[in-house]
Amino acid sequence: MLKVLYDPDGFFSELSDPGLRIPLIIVGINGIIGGIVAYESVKYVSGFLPYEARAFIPAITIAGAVFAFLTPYVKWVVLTAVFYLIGMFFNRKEGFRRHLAFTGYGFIPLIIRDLISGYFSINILRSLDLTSISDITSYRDVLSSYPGIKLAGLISILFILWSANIMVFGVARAGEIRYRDAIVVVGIPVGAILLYTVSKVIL
Amino acid sequence: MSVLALLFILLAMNTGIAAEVTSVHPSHPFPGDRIGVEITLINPGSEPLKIDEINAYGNGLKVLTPSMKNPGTVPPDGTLNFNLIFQAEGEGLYTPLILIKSGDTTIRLQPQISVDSTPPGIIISDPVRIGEMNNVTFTIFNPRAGALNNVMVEISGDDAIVSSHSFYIGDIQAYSSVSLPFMCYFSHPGNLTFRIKFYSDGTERRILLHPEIKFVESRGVRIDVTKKLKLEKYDSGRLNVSITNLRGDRIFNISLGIEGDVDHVDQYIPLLEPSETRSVTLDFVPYRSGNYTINVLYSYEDLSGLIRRGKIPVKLSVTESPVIGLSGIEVKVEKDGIRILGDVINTGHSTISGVTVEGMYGEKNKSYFLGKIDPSDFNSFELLFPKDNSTEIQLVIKFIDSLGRIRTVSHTIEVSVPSHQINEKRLTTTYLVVGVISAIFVALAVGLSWRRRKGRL
Repeated sequence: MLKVLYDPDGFFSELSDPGLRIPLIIVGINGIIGGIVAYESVKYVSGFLPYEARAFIPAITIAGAVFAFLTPYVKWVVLTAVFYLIGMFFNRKEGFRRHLAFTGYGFIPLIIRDLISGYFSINILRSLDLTSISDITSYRDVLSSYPGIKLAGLISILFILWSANIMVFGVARAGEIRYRDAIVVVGIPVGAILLYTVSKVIL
Repeated sequence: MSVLALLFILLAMNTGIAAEVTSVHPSHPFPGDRIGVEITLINPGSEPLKIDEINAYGNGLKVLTPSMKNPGTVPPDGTLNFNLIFQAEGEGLYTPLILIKSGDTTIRLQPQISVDSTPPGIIISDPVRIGEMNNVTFTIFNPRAGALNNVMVEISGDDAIVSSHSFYIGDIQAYSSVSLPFMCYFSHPGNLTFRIKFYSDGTERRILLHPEIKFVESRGVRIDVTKKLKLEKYDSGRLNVSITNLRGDRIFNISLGIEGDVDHVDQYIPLLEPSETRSVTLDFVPYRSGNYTINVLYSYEDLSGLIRRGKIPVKLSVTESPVIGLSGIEVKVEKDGIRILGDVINTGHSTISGVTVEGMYGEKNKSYFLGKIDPSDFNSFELLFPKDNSTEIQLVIKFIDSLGRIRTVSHTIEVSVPSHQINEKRLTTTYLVVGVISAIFVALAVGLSWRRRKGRL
């Protein structure tokens, strides 16, 4: 399966009957990593909440983890739907399910990204000497000015590009369209995501 | 007391001569006075009558006129007067005997002369207050049977001030009195001397009198003031002070102030009449917290020019927290620096003005002008400092209190710059390494993927 990372076209061409089980697991791993990071973050931050709010900490923690776990699935479905819709303009064939399956493999680089960023995020959070909830905001402002944090944003962009690259081949194979058309199909939404990410890194 | 002159008329039945005491002068003699007794001999007949001898016997009085032999002849149907002089050495009722001999007839005259030493008196019935200008009434009374004429009184005192000291009273009838007011001031108990000059039966007399005076302490002034106050440091305090002049005279240049750890404004009352009350408000601002006593000071000048002073203690309870405070302080660590914002609250009773928040963070000073803040009101401020390693911001609130004085209240705000063990350089290096490795991996993967693609672009 790792072939999809460096030879996605070969991988997808050999995938005659793409089931949803593996893409679900891939996206699920994304969700689990996101859920763990969210759980750790909320658990740490909740210690600074006012006394009256502490009764809600378990609920907040679980809700945060569940939300983080489900987010990649939502992204997956929405992104595939956008690809599917744009693909209509390029005479794409096959159905949504095949698109969904192929796009799901494109989330593998994001697992690597989330592992790296999750590891750093939790370590940075634990290294903070917070005294109040407002310190988090202050710290975010301070940290965002560090060049290292800007680099993290650029690394994230790299992995998004890697994912987009896999998705281009996935969409091309799923819809049986030309590569250049697939670049446009994937490029429009991913381009928007990249623009948003770059703007956050720069500003 | 009185001088009684009894007139005796004795008729000599066989000669027809009569004699009478025409006058006794002075009619109300004092001891030592010379008393002239005038007798008149009356001859109702048609023949002249020769007087052989007149003898006088004092019966206690000294006889200054020697016996007279053949003093004269009383013409027919006429009269002849003689004057006999006596002198009284002591007081009493005297009946000197005068014997008039004419031929075989002797006439006895025995007038009653009352010699009385009782002088006029002075009574001061009003009590005299020490340290006050007293408006006192003195009463001069004549205890004698005869009138006192052209009475003049002069009042003086060694240790006293007597403002109206000379009186012309005129006549004081027998057993009657005259009352007159005068002003006097005693700094301590003493005597008054009354010099009385009068005429009694035309004779000038002078006496000195020292009437008894009842002295009482001055009632001074009464100060009514709140005895306890509770307020905040630098708040505007008000003491309502009423001063009543309990003295019998007016007081001047009344000054009221405060002694203690407060700033205040003095009050001045130019004049206070007797029994008059005036109220003033003493505005003050306490500059020390805690429980302590301040004194309301008062002073006034009396008619003698003497300045009297006094003080009334007032207990103050001043809170530790000043009248101006901070609320909702928020320190934000931002990209541009450290931002501190919050509210300045006036918890006092009066408006404060010129409120300025001055902040010092590291080496940088910033200030924010808030202006006027009414009681129970607040105003917001915001200061932005460049980044610094300092962990606290010194905030100084300057304001002008209700007395117009500049006050400062200092606060230290801790800047909780979120500390961490993250080494910025190390973090950057780590991300750089990860980024380079990731970039190589991604570039290789993407490059390979396009090289291995099966179809045309």
